[in-house]
Formats: sequence, C-alpha cells, structure tokens
Amino acid sequence: MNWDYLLSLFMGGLTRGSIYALIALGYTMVYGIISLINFAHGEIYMIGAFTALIVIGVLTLAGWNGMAILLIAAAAAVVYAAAYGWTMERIAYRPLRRAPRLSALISAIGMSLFLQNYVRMAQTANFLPFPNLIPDFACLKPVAHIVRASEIVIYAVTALVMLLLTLLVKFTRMGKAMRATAQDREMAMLSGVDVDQVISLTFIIGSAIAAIGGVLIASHVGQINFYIGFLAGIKAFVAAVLGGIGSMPGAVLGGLVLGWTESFFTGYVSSDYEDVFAFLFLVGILIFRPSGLLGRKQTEKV
Amino acid sequence: MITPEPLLKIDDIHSFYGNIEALKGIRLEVAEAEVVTLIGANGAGKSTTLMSICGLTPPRRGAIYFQGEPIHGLAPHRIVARGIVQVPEGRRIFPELTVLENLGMGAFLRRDPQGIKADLDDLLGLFPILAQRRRQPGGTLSGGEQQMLAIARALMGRPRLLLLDEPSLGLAPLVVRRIFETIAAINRERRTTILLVEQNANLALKVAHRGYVLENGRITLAADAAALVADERVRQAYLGI
Repeated sequence: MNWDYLLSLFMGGLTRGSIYALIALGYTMVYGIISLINFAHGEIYMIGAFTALIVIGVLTLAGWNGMAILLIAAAAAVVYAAAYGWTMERIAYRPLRRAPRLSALISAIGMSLFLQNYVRMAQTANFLPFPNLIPDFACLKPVAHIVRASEIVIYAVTALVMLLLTLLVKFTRMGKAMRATAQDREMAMLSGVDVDQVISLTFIIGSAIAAIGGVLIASHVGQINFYIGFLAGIKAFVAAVLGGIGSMPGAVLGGLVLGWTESFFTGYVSSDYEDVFAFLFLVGILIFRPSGLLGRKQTEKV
Repeated sequence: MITPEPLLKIDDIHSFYGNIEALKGIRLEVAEAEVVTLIGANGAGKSTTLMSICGLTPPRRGAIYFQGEPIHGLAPHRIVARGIVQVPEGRRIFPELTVLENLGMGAFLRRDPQGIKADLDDLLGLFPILAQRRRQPGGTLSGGEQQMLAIARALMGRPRLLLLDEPSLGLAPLVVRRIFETIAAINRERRTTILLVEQNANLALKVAHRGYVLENGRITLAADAAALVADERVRQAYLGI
C-alpha cells in the first residue's frame, strides 16, 4: 500500500470537499429560508472567480504583486457576487414569492442560463488562465507531493468561514432571525422579523461564501471559464442533498463526503466516470436515508 | 362603555383567502385595558380577523386604526413594532429554538437589554416550568407548556395590545383553567389590552369585559360579557345551555 498516494487522495478530497461545502452552504441556507433550490447559485461562484480574475489583471498591470492582489481581488469578488445574489433574489425570486414553487424553480434555471451566457458574451467562451498567487511556503517542501500551499489555504479559509458563519447564525440578532424564519416564517413575521430583509441577507451571505470558494478553487486549478459554475453547482447541490438539505452542518458534511468519494474513486478506480460515480453515490445514500445524512429532525435548519 | 378614542378600531374590513371573502365587513373596537372576546363557530372568520390586524391577511377594503393611526397596509413587522403582538392558533413555538431563544424572539424588536433581562426574570418567575426547561428546544415541550411559552414570548414584546387565538385549543381542562387565570392576571396586573378569540365561549365570557359574536364573516352581536351570557341566542348556539 502506498501511503503517500492514499494521503494525497485524502487531501485532494478535502480540497474538493471544502469547495463543495462552501457552495453547498448557499444552497442549503436559501432552501432553509424559502424552500427554493437556487439553481443559479453555481453561477454566482463562477462570477466570483471572474471578478477576481479581472481585478487581478488590472492590479497586475498597475504593478502590484503577490498576496496583496489576491486579497483585494477576493474582497472585490465577495462584494460583487453578494450584489449579484441580492439582485437575483430581487428580480427573479421575490416577485414569485407567492407563486407555486415550480415557477420560482424555473425562474432559477432561467437565471442560471442567463448568467452563464451573459458572462460568455461579455468575456469569452475560452478557458482563461488564473494566476496562482498563493506563495509556496518553504515549510511545505517535504510534503509537496501530498499537499500544495493553495490547498492549505483552502482548508484554512473554509474552516474560518464556517466558524464565522456558525457564530453569526447562533449568536447574532440576524442569525436568530434567520433560524426563526427557517422554522416558521409567519411566526417570525409576527415576532417583528422583517422577513424580506432576512431573505436578502441569506442571499448575500450565501453568494459571498460561494465567491470565496470560486476564488480559492480558481487559484488552485489555474483556469476558469463561464461554465465552471454549472458542474460545481450541481455537485454542491448533490452535497447539500446528501447532507440533508436545509441543514448547515449537513452541507459541510455532504461536501466533504462527496469530495473524498470522488477523490478516492478517481485515484483507485477510474477518472473517466468521476461524475457518474458522484451521482450514483447520491442515489445510493438517498435510497437508504431519504432525508440525507443529517436529516431534518436532528439538525438545525437554516 | 367605549371610550372616545379606542386603542383599536376596525372599520368595515373585508379580507379574503384567495377568492373567498372570509370577512364581510367587520367593525369592532377595543378600548385601553379592556379584554374583548370574539366568539363564533369554526370558519366564522375569527382567526382571519386577527391575521388581518397583524397584516398577514391584509384587508382588501376597510380600515384598521391603532392608537388613532391607520395600520392596514403596513408590513407585519411594522405592526408588531407598534405594539400589537399575537399568540397565534396552534402556539407556533419555534421548535428548534430553545425556550430562552423563543422568549428572546418575543423581544426581537426591543433594544433595551436591561429591560429585556428584567422581563425575562419576571416571566420565568410567573411560569416556573419554563425556567426549568429553559435550555430545551421548544418543540419538546408539552402542549400546555408550549401555550405558556407562547404567551410568555408575546409578553416579552411588552405588547400594548395582545391578540390571543384559541389559547385553550387541545389542552386538558386543568391546563386550560391555568391559562385563563394567567390571561385574567395579565390584564389585571399589567393592564394589557387583550383581544381574545375563543371557541370555548363559556371561558372567554368569564374573563372578557365585552364580546362580539362572529357568524360567516359578519358581526351579529356585540354586548357586555354579562349581557351575552344572558342572551338566549348565545346561550343556545355557543354556551350549550
């Protein structure tokens, strides 16, 4: 048994899983609040990556370099993606709040197609190289064949985002309003919660987190195009369902489980059927646990 | 019997569920510090009246005034901010929030931490069972405990007008008596104005000063509680005498 290989697959799975988890959080939060699968959520992640790439390009031309660029680019991506998320809810979902669920779902699919093609027209259909601005830390030299610096950054940032999100949802006034709205929207209104504001905030937070994921993975993989949001979005959706949609710990768990499953499967079996296997796995889990790994009853729903 | 400027004045409201006209022109008034009850059969429009006041089923026609100002058409959270708090039918405890968090939600719009703390201690004293279960999720409480939590949660908002929808529903007689004693005490000691919707007219007319009878979306009778108890039609239809 090659332990280094096993370990590198484990780390690779953790990398994928972290990104899935970051995107899945947005799916599950929105679902928890308004019972909508926001199929355009993957596009927000893609837009985050594109925003960062543009900012990096501009700042590089201006003579900046290194981590500073990446931080500014990431901040810009977060703000820009959050603005997209907020706007999307306003124009595509809010008018359909009282319509049958299917209408909002179709609107979401339309939004997704629109954003993909908008980026394709405004930017390009080709893959664009994304510079890796995360320095190779010297201390990682001995384990370079197992884990890269950009992966360590992904783990750290993902953990930090989850910690902050947990604190926000558990302890802040807005977090309590979000949980209350997820559990009983009418009663939240009767308690004085401005539910529209909570919904907007949910989209803003979910989009910001997806953008962070987009920047991280683009930096790690090294290229992006207008279509990256589609597959990542679908996978993250699988992760959210796998963990139990509506449950935030479930989204994280589902993301990690899916990441590891894919990584080990491609490493030991075949990389040709990677996506097929991810969905087979989903089907398998749902047959035995229809409500996902952390089903509704044991978890906090947001 | 009605003060010149009632706290709540409902003027000819018509409210709909889809295309069904649930309220066909309701007029009623509630004065400061009064307990007023709305009695009537299932589907008469009692809950709809409360939901219309709170803005969840806003009336399509007519007007609602609170402290002399129109509130129909305001968003629900703005109506709560005026001091109108409802304990809805079925209690609607947030099942996965703890008892303390549920109580905290009642004070959601308040910004006075010290006042909130004082009211919390006060209410946990009034309902010792809630103090015992303070860290438990609301969904694990029994029906009676949930009703007390729902009332306590509403009081955390220091309401000027408390709307109670079927507080006796599904509870054991002994628990119901306890709840109604509490309701009477809230009005007596805090001078909180209460609009009480109740199918159990016997109980409702015992705590209320005045009452309205609602039939098919219309008010058919309005009188002092004592007069309603004595009314032959009310006795037959609602008191089972």
